[in-house]
Amino acid sequence: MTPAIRSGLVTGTLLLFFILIGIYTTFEALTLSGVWLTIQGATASEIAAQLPTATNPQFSRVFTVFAALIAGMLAARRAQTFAAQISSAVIANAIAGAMVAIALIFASALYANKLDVSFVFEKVKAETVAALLFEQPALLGGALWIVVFAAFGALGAALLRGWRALAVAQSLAASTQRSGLTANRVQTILLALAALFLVIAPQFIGVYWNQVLGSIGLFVLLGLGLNIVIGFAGLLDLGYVGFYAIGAYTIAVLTSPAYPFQWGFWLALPVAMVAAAIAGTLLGIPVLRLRGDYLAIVTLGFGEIIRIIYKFNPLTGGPQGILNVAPPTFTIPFVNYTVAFNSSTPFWYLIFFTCIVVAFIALRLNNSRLGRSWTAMREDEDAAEAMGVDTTRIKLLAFGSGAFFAGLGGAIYASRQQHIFPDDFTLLVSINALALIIIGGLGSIPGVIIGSIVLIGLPEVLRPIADYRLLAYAALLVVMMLVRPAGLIPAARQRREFRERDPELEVLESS
Amino acid sequence: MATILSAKGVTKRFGGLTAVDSVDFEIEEGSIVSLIGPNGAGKTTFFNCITGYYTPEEGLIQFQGKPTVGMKMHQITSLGIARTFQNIRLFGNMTALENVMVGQHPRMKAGVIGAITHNKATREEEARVTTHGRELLRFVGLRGKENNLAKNLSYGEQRRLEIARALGTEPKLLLLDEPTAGMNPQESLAMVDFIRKVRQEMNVTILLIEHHMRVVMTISERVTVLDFGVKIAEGSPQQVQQNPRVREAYLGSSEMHI
Ligand SMILES: Nc1ncnc2c1ncn2[C@@H]1O[C@H](COP(=O)(O)OP(=O)(O)OP(=O)(O)O)[C@@H](O)[C@H]1O
Ligand SMILES: [Mg+2]
Repeated sequence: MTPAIRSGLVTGTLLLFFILIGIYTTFEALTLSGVWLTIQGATASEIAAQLPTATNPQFSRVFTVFAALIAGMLAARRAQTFAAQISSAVIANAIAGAMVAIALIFASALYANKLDVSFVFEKVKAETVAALLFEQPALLGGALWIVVFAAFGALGAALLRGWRALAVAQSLAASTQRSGLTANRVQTILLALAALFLVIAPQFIGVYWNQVLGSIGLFVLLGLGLNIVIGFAGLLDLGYVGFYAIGAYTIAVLTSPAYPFQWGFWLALPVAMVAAAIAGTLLGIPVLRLRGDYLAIVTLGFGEIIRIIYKFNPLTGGPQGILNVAPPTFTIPFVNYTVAFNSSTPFWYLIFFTCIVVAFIALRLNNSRLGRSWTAMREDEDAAEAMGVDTTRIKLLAFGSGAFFAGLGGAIYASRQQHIFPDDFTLLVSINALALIIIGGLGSIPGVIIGSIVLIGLPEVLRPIADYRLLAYAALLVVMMLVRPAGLIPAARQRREFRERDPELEVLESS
Repeated sequence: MATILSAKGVTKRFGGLTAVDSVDFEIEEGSIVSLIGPNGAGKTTFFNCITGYYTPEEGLIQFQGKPTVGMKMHQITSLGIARTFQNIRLFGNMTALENVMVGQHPRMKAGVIGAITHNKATREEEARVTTHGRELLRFVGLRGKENNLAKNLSYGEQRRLEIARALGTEPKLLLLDEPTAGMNPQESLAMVDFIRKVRQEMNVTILLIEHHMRVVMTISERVTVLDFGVKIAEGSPQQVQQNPRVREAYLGSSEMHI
C-alpha cells in the first residue's frame, strides 16, 4: 500500500467521522451574519431572535475546501519532486473523496427508499446528505466530491511547495548579512505596528474582545513563565497551574474585604509573586532527582494538591472561593488622572505592559550564562554538572522564576475577575499553557505569543462551533506536529535542529 | 615535584561487586599518567570517584591537599579537575562555541541580576568568554567550526571539542577517558602529540585511561594498572610492561599489543 493510498484512507475515515458527529449539520446552521453578531458580542438568544432559521451551505463548503487543502498538504509532505507531490495529493484526495461519495450515495439511496438513516445516525439528516451532494443527483454529486476534493488537494500540495520554497528563501536571505539586516528592520516595523494596534484597538473593539485580548495576554504570561521551566530548562512541569492559584489566592486573601488585611493591590502583588516563587522553589526540592515523565507525573500531582487544599480549606472560602478581590488603583502622576480599573480595557493595558516586561526578562535570562547552563542541562544533566554547572541551583531557579511569573499572572487574573474559585485552577490550565508553548515552538518567546493567540484566541473566534472546540484543538495539535514539528515560530536552536534533519529542505537548498 | 592528587584506600561497590578495591594512587603535578587495565577493571569508576560522580564507600581523595570525597561534582570541577567521557557526551544541539562557553561556567560570575540588567560587568564577561572560547577552539583545531552544532561534527572533532570544553573550566588536572577510542593508529599518534601540546601550553597535569598500548608506552611517564578493581602494578611504562602480573591480567586479551 503506497503512502498516498494510506493517507487517502485516513482522510476519508476522518471525513466520515466528521459527518457522523454532525460537524456539517452544525455548519449548515451557521450564517455569516450570525458570526458577525457573535463577534460584536451578542448572546445566543439575541442572535436567534434576529436571524431566520435557514440552512446555508457556505460554511460546510468552506470546511470541505479546507479539509481538502490540508489533506493534500499532508499527502504531499513526504514526496520529493513536484510531480510526485501533486500526484500523491490527487490520489490520496480522490480516494478520500470516493469514500465520502460512496457513503453519501448509499445514504441518499436509503432515503430515496424511505429509510430514515438519521434514526441510527442522528446527524445524517436527509437535508444534510442533499447539501453534501451539492444539491445534485446522487451520482453526479458523488463524482463532484471526488473531483473537487482531488482538485483542492492538488492546490494544497502546490501551496505546500510554495510555502517551503519561501521558507528556504527566507533562511537563505537571513544568512547573508545585508538582507538579514533588512529582514530585521521589517520585523521591527511589524512589531511596532502590532504594538500600536494592541494599544489603540482596545478602545474600539468592545467589551467582549477586550475580554478575549486579556485572556490571551494572561496565557501569554503563563506561557512565558512555563517556557522558562520547560522550554529553557527542559523540566516537564505539569503542576504549573498551582503557582497561578497561589498568586491568585494570595492577592485575594490580602485584598478582599472578607479578610482582615485589606491591603492595596500594589502592595499585595509582590507578596503574591514571592509566595508563588517560594512555593515553586520548595516544590522543586523533592523532585530534583526526577527526570522526564516521572517529573511530569509528580508535578501534576502537586498542582492538583494545591487546588484541592484551596477547595477544602474553609479559610480560603472552600468551593465558593473568594469574592471582591480588589482591583488596582492607579493615578497618572502630574495630571492627577485616576485610572478606574472597572472594565477589561485598563486590565488589558496592565496585562500588555506586564507581558512586555516578562518577555524582556525571559529573553535576557535565556541569552545569558544562566540560559546557557539551562540548555546544557536540558541536553545532558551529568555532563553539565561535570562542567561545573550547579544543576541543583539552576533547576530551583527555573522552578522559582517560572512560578514567580505564574504568581504574577494569577494575581492579575484574580483582580480582573474580582472573584476566584478553586476550579479556575484545574489541570486543564497547565495543559493549555503547555500546548500553547509547544504549538508556538518550545523555547521561543514569539512562539508563546502566537501560540496563545492560536489556542486561546481562535476558540473565541470559533465560538459558534463551541461544541467542537476540543475536537478542533486536538486536530490542530496533530496537524501541527505533523506539519511543523518544531512549532509555529521555533526558537533559533530548534530551527537548527529540525532544519538539519529535514532532507527536503537540504535538497532544495543545494539546488 | 608536588603531588597534585592522592587517593588512599578508595573503594567503590555496586551491590556485591567491588568495582574499585582500596586503590592507593598519586599523581605528580605536571606529569602524564596512564590508567590501564582490561575491560571492566574499574578505570572509569575510579575516574567517577575522583570527579565526584560517585562517592566512594571508603577511602580518602585529596586534590592539592584538600579532601574532596563528599563534594559535589560541580564543586570539584571548580577546584580544578575536568574530564572527558568515554562515550562522548557533548551538548549535541548547542554549537561548538556554546559547548566551550558552558565549560567556562565555573570561571564566570554573572547571576540572575546580571542576566536581566545586562550590566557592564556581564557584557565584559560575555565578551571575554566568547573570545577565550574561540581561542580554545582554535587551539584544538576546530577553527571555523564555532557555529556548527556539536552533534554534526565528525567523531575526531567531537573528541577534540570535548577536550576544549574541559579546558574551558581551566583545570589543573585533566582526566581523559579513552581519548583515542575508535581511532586508527595514525589518528591515535596525532592525539598523542596533541595531548602533549595540551600539557605544555595549558599547564595541566593529565591522567588518561587508554587501551592502545602504543599510545600508553609513548606518552606516559607513569602507568597504573587495575584489574578487577585492584591496583596490580605501578611504575614506568617499561616496568609495567615487564611485570608478570600485568602480563597475566592481559593474557588472552587481544588488547595488549606489546
Ligand atoms: N553504575 C553501575 N552500576 C553497577 N555496576 C557498575 C556501574 N558502573 C560500572 N559498573 C561495573 O563496575 C565494573 C567496572 O566498570 P568500569 O566502567 O569502571 O570499567 P572500565 O575499566 O572503565 O572498563 P572499560 O575498559 O570497558 O571502559 C564493571 O564490572 C561494571 O559492570
Ligand atoms: Mg571505562
